[in-house]
Amino acid sequence: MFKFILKRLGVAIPTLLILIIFSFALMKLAPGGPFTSEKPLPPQVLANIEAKYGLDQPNYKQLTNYIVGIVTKGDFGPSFRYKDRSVNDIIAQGFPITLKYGIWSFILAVLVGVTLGIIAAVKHNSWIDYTAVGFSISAQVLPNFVMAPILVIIFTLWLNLLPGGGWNGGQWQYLVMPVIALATSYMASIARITRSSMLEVLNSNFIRTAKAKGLPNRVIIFKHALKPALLPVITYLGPTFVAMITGSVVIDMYFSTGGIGQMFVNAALNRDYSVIMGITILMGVLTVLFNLMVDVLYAWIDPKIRY
Amino acid sequence: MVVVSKKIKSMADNMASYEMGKKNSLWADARRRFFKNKAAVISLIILSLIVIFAFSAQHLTKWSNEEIDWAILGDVATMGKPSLKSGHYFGADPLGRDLFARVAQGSQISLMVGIVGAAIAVLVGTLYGAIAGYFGGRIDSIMMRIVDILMSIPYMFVLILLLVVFGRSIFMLFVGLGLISWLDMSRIVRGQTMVLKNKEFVEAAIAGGSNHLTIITRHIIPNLLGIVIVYASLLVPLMILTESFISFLGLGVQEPNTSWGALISEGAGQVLYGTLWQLLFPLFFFVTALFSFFFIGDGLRDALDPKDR
Amino acid sequence: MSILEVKNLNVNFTTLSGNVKAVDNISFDIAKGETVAIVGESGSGKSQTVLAALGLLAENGKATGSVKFEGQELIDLPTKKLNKIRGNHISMVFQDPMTSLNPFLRISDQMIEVLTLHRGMSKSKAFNEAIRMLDAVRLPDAKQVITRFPHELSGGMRQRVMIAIALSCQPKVLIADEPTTALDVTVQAQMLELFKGLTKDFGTSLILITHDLGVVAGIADRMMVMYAGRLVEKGSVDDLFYSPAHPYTYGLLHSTPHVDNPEQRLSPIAGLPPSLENLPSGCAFHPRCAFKLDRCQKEAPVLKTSADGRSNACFYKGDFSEVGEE
Repeated sequence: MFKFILKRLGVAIPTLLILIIFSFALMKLAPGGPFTSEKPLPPQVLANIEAKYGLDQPNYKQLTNYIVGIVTKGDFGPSFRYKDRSVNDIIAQGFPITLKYGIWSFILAVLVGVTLGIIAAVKHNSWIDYTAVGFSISAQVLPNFVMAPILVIIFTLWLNLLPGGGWNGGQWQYLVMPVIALATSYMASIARITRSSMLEVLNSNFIRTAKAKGLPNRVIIFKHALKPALLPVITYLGPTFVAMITGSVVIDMYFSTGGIGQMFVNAALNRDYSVIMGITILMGVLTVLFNLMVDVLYAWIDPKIRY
Repeated sequence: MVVVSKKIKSMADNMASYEMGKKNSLWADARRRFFKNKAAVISLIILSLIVIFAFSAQHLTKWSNEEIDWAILGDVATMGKPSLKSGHYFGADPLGRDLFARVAQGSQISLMVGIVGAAIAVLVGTLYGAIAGYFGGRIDSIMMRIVDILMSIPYMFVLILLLVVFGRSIFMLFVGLGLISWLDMSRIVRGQTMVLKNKEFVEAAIAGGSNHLTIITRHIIPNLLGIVIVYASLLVPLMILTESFISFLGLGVQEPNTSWGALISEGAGQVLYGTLWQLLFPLFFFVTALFSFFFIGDGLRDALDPKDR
Repeated sequence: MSILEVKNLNVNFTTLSGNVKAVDNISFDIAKGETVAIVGESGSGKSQTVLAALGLLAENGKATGSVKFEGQELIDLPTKKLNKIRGNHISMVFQDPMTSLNPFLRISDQMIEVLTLHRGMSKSKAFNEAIRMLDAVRLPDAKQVITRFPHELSGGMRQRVMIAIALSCQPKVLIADEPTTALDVTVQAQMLELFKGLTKDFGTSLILITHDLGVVAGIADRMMVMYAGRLVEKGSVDDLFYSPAHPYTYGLLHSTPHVDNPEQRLSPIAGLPPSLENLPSGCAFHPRCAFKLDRCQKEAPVLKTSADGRSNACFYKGDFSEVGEE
């Protein structure tokens, strides 16, 4: 297993490097530098500022310094827009927020999605099945930016139960709608995949053998069918995670929760390049780590893959 | 995407097993099965209606999508409600512009972006995947490794980056969308090309002395057509979703152009003022169009791979 | 004394192209300790017959009629009650050892669960018993094998595991669906020896489904021949082999090449088995029958039992050497 992880890391690291270089190159290609959109500065001042930020050095040197900084100190450098704050500061402000509602969303989507999928498959062609399928289909046209305002209409406008936005330290009233809005469409697609995978497994020969052994239904579902049925679902969790990260941008914008997505869009609009790069790289690292975990989980369940 | 891949694989297997001579009957059979599928046919009709609406609605109203109705500007919440009398069939947006005209225009843009974006992704993905799958070996390894790496990058961030760095134009939007979506397509096409490559009729063609180009164009691509069509039909709603997402963030189409995503964004922001029509009308078109595309895609897939589900 | 009584069993499947009758009005009995072979080509309905008995039909299948085990009706028996019988008193060994074992569970898990469930053993006792069973089916190195996963075993080993599982609770009836088809000949011979020994030692009734007449000759006492879902002939193996009464049985016997006659030309039965969705009128076999009469196309013959205990469903009453024999 250890070798497996090592192998995966071997792919992950070049991926991250490429991501960093790509982002860096994009920054450099962009018209205008980080300081040219303010009122024009006298050249001497501009030169001084650039020297301060190390922008007068050749590009490759900037790149290597940057990478070294990240790897050795976890330092993403200073923000180009906010003179007294570093990228790390900004990230530290927004990340815990995104993490909190992101994790809840993920758990909700997986738990509800998988449970719904299993029930639908086991009660194939019953009203439960049809309802679950109906829900899955409907929810796929309800992405987070559609769910969010609908939830607000219902819970804030009509029922006056929940606040329409804000974070307030993450109290539950401020969590509910962001979490549901983010989770809904993934809940649906996870349910769909679980259901179809479970149906396929339940029709397989080895389940027929299990039935022929006289095993009770519960045992067949949980001991025999669940593991193989969950494999495609696990594979799907990787892209789900990535999608949720990007989806959090919408949640931040709409609910003004102040998470990392909002930081990113602000930085993008302000041309705060170091923040943009820092967040992109952070997200890249998370994605790679998460995919690694998913791969390990998959290998752990499937005895045919043993490193 | 994973669900799609599995079903598409079985469908492609089914298609590849139709002999060359019987190809006509495959399409005829498929067409028959498709039209038997009620959901798909209804969706097709509805989608056509939406398209007609998008491109001809402008003639039904005296308002353009940019004009501000000064008469109601001060009090859109009460005076801007949808009504046949005032000529604002869908009501007015927060700036006093006619929502009917704007929704029509937004529909045009969203549909076009969806279809053109999907077309680009399909073109690039198919070519890329076919080449990788056909030549195999090192070429395939390298090409697919690149795809793997690209897939693990949170594309939305890169996309937003691109849009901000290079400016928000429709062109950039297409480039960005195209950049993301061809990856999955290339994987599927590559897989299928590999399966097809090993089928007998390709061996026969090679034995008969055809060169690579002929084989690719005459044997492989026609057999990929089925999957490509189905996948493209699923890509269109995905493109619309992605574009809407970006526009929702304010990074997509620029004023005075608008799209479903942008309209939904505006409407969503006004929700607490009670002007719900500003959200609901674009939302309705958005959801209906997506549903239709999904059902049509499902129908196409079932038509080309008639396995009992 | 019949341990299994099948009366008027019908199995129907609802498909996109309509209703398909996989098993058409079959009746037969199995006595205690006897080995009965069900013979027929693919699609003849032999597997569906036994699957129906054990409630293992696919979702779109429906069984009507009666299958009684020791007097207890099995058709439509509630699952809870059926589970007391399945794996316990009636066991089944399936055709494909590759896919019939759960790839995600160790052999030990898959064997122990039957023992703890039906015989109330503790896990450790069951573990030892499982090893004993694997030894009994002559699986080499049982202690090692039992800790493995199915994909680490060969086809023959997997099949033995399946047999061991099926025999764990000393069933009264063992159903084996083409147990040797996926195996090579030497392994096949060992399997049959195994079966013979078991039926002798434990008095187990064996229902053997096969299309291989050599296997039938090797271990079966009686045999039933099925065609297109219908039972066409029944009787002792000796009777059917030496004097078949149905043209299909005759055709089967004579399409098997003989080892000691290498010069003999192969004489297959002309034509192909019919599609169950499009059965011929009257007797299902008549389009391929060398002995058909006029009425065979209009009427379907009914299985009739004669005084000597044999049954067949055919209008032709003559000798088979008269027509078409070399």
